[in-house]
Amino acid sequence: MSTKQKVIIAVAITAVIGIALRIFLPVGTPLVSVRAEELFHIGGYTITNSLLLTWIVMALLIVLAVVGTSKLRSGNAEALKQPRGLQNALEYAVEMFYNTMQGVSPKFAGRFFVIVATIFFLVLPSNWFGLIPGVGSIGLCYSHSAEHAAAPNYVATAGISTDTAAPVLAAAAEGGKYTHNCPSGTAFHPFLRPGSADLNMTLALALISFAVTEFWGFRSLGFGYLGKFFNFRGGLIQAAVGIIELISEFARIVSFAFRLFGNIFAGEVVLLVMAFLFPTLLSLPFYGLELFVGLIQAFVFAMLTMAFIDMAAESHGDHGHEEHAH
Amino acid sequence: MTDEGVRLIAAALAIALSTLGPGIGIGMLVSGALQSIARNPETEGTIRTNMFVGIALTEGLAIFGLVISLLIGFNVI
Repeated sequence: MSTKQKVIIAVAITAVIGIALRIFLPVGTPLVSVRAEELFHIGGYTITNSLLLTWIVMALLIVLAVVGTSKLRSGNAEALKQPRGLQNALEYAVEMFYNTMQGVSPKFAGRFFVIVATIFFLVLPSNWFGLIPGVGSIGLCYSHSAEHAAAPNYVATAGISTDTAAPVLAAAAEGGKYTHNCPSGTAFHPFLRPGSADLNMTLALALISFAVTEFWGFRSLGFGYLGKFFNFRGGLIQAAVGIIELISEFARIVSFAFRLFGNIFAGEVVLLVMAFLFPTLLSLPFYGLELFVGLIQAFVFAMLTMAFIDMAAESHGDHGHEEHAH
Repeated sequence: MTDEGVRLIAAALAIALSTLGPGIGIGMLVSGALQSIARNPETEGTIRTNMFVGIALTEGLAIFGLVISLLIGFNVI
């Protein structure tokens, strides 16, 4: 039997199993909540599930960095020359990212690499954590508090998963004791939710990126930086262009925040809907797509921050000159 | 037609119509960038940076549509 035939048979079997599961097992309605769900309170602060996952990501990054550089910090001369294992992988990732940033902004890549790389290496695992089965599908039913009742759009119906957990498992959860169909008056809150699928996190990152850009603009050009936006000497057209620049400067915050949030949240919803539409196989190609989207969005966020920093530093006058020199 | 139904149609139209223009725009932008990279490969770094900035600005329009769509869909406005 050739490989091709084996593949066809495997696909046919999974398709039949999928159709059978879809028909014979009850399927709930998918749960989609735009806001991150609350889990518990610590001293007046609300801990949401996206915050919890972001902490996990942060802990993971810290552990990776500490373990990866342990040989370096112990003063091992050999580790400096010939990195191997985890240290090698980390160095490869950082160096590749640094070279890309060098291409974006040759002048300021070294100075702002810390901020840009932090954004990239925080957003990337945040995006990808949402794809792990169990994230967004395991949780508890929480009873409505007063503030929930005040928000009429809060979706109370709970589905089996907000992620593509292994399809068979998800379907088994439907029939078995792990069902997430919460009783009325309660809402399903998953324990984990990717940080990028929470608007608060992406807005915070966007504000950091915006603040760094403006800071660098003022730092390198002084108050002449404002001349970019309030340019009344060059006539009416120049003044209008300046105002448009000013508006688009602030629109960056919105577009930064919603680009990341929209892409990751929409990816979650697509995977969820596909898993409900057809429990096996269908969500597989979208899984690959979401891996790609997660990487691209993390990269775009970091790269745009770098590009905007680079743009903020060049004054209006020497723009043409600068281009000429390249 | 119920109030909720109109709201859903409005939300769908907001995002659907606002992605039309940026879709065409980003397509044209990337095609132009790829052509110039093919013609002049050593400028790839600069062109790619400017391409991404242009994409970000173009995509911003679609993102405004998404924001409006979410606001309508979740009863904010």
